[in-house]
Amino acid sequence: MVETFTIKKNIKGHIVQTDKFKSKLVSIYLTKTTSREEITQNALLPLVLKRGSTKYPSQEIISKKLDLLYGASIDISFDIMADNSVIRFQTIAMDDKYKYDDTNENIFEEAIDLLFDIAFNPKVEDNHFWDEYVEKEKDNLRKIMDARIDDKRSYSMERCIEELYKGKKYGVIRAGYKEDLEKINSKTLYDQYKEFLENCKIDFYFSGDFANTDIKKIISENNYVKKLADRDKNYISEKIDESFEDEEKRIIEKMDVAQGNIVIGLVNENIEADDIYLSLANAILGVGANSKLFQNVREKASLAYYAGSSFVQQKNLILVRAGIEIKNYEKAVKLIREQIELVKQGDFTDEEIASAKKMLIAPLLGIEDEQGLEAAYEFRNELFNVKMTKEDKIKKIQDAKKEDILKAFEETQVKMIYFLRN
Amino acid sequence: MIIEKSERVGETTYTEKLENGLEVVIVPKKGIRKKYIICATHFGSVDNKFVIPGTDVVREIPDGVAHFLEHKMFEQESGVDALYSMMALGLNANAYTTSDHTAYLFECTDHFYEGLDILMDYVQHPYFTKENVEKEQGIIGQEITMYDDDPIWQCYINAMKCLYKNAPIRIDTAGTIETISHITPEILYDCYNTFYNPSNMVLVVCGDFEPEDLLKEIKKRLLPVSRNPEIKRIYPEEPKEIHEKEKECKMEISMPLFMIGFKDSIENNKEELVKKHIGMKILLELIAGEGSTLYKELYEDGLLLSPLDLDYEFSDTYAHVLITGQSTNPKKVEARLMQEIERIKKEGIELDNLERIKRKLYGSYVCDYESVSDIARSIVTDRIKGIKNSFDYLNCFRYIKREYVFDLLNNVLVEKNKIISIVTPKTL
Repeated sequence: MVETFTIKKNIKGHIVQTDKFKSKLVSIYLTKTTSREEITQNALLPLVLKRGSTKYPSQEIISKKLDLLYGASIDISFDIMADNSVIRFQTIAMDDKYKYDDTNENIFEEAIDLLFDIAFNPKVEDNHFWDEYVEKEKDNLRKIMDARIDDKRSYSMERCIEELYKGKKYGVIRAGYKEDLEKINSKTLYDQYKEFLENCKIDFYFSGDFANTDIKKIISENNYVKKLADRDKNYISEKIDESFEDEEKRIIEKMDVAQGNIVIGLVNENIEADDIYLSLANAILGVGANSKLFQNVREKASLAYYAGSSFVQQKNLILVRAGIEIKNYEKAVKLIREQIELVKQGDFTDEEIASAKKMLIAPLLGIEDEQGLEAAYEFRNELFNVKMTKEDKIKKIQDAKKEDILKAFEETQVKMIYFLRN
Repeated sequence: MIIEKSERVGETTYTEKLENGLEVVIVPKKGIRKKYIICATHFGSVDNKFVIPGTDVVREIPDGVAHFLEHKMFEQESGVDALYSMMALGLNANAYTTSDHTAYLFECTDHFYEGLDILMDYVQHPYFTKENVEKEQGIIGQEITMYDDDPIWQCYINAMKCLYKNAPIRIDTAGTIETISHITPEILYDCYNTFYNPSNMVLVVCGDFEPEDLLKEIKKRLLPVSRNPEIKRIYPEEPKEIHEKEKECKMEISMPLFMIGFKDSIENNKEELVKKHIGMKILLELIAGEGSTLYKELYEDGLLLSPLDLDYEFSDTYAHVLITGQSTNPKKVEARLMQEIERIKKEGIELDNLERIKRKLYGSYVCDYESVSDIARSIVTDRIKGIKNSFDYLNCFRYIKREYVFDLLNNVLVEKNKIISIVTPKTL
């Protein structure tokens, strides 16, 4: 359950009131349409902002303050959600009721003060960011870009998406581009920050026990929030009608690896196709131990240590992933295709459908039980304008029939086969 | 049932040691829909030599048996795989093997008792055949190969090989493709009958339950098994000194990865374990945590880009500090770390810093009690290590004195105890 209130045009507050947790969470989401020109700067911003703000001008000061606030955490991240770039500022702090000292400080208020200062009041001099911080973090970002290859599984996933959506917004490299870094300095980055802040959608999320806290008052009286102006919609909440080439593409990338990683991208170009039924089709294909991929590629054929699929709802994209012995590549691809065909032909039992339904419903039921999950879930709904309640979603999943699933899946085609090998 | 309460954090544990020796711990969580259950046996990758209970027979088994057994437990004589049955109910089921225990678990919002039926059924009914053992060798072979590509795992195993000459912590949990080829159904049954006896196991449940009712349900599903005498585990003699100063290997990663370790003596007094664990955590945070002077300097000098992982790992056969990070120059980080350690030895520990770190630690202990999975998992870990009351962490941290932490600094963080394991990029 979330209570939403409007602060300004395209600036909202959301409260998830619960006494289940021992902590309070505050998240600030800044969302703007992804642009290739801005991506590297946007990836750099969180790194620079966390180095220091006006009131808390260094990392050491911030860390010590967090320790004193009973180990509160601050996390600033950049992510892609469908065709949007999202910068999130988040703090999780122990609830004041568990303090052991008879200190006067209010952990929650101090944590907000710190978070908002970092987000809205960066350390700035002469209308530019601190030079030292920007140069250092550019170096840092370079290394983060290089570090993409460290986790072969996630690297293969990213590469498949980048190739499949080449030239499109969703295909940008999340960590940014090395060639952009030279053009960035403390002034251009600060301009980008101001421009982003002026035009982005802003959402404040609060999760925890706020029964005795007037959040609306705190936010509306907050000096930083008061300075924010109305802004137009500069983000994409709808599914984009994208077209892909008819024929499948194959990409093979070579690296010094012992195990091969296959990632296959399937797209349903019909943006009207039903999300819930499509996600059920995906579950039957590759979610959990009862899925086709796990049963037939991993268990029966012993071809893969891991084999499964995931559904990127907003892009109508299904990603099949498998870790295989390199010599078994063609065999594995053939077997995976067979599983996809089985789902398309409706060659799955009532038990498989029931199992898939349970795989989708269980996480929904557990969202309220872990700090942060509900806020993240509600933000996704907010961003993509999903009005359906959790209860209605669960009901729709439960009532889904085989014909519904087949109809949603029938136009899904393999568009990209990516293989990382030696 | 033994009831332990923490007023401070508002949680209670209910513990009962059954007649067959099984220890059951229940942590009620009102109003939370999620439930988490773990059934664990005190049998891990270090247990590769033991006496078969009630006999004089010494059994030595190939590396990787505990992990192999974990994979095979799900297979039923009926042909149905218990993992599928649980997942078909919408349960998030899993299992894992560590150096000192193997655990079978599931998390769910519904169908708990059906899941409990399946869990208790497959854990109490082993079924190993030549065919199903051979099939698993293929799958585990791939898992081993996957870990061959994992720089963090390789760095860790090398760190263990540096710290320890003989202690079985230096063995890869999954074994090697060669060692697992020697596993037979007989070996698996011997291990099962020895270690999967209730007297060697613990069952922890966290969720919205009435403890007495849940206990009844658990007892209903227990097979009558007689209690084994205590298992005699045979561990090799381990010298006090480290084995090798350093180890390096090359892999395809972007920046060098390192683990600096300090060997510690094993704490035999179980009452002291919690105190030592907390003391070491405080010490490491003081020296190299995110709020430390050392971290600030290393960051500004470009030697570190993100905070170090600071761990103290301990069990019956090992105890060591492990500091993990990535740096363009791991040896420099190591040198600066030692410099800082020497400085603090000379200048002492500031009380302000000590209090600050204590607050941080306390906050993390409190927030651990938010999540049913964190609660269940840490209770299992504690019980296996012989820590009887997990609330001890919350209760005793305030009484850790500066002198105690300073003693740990002088006794444990010394040059002769130190090793370093580095994974270097192939392109360098």
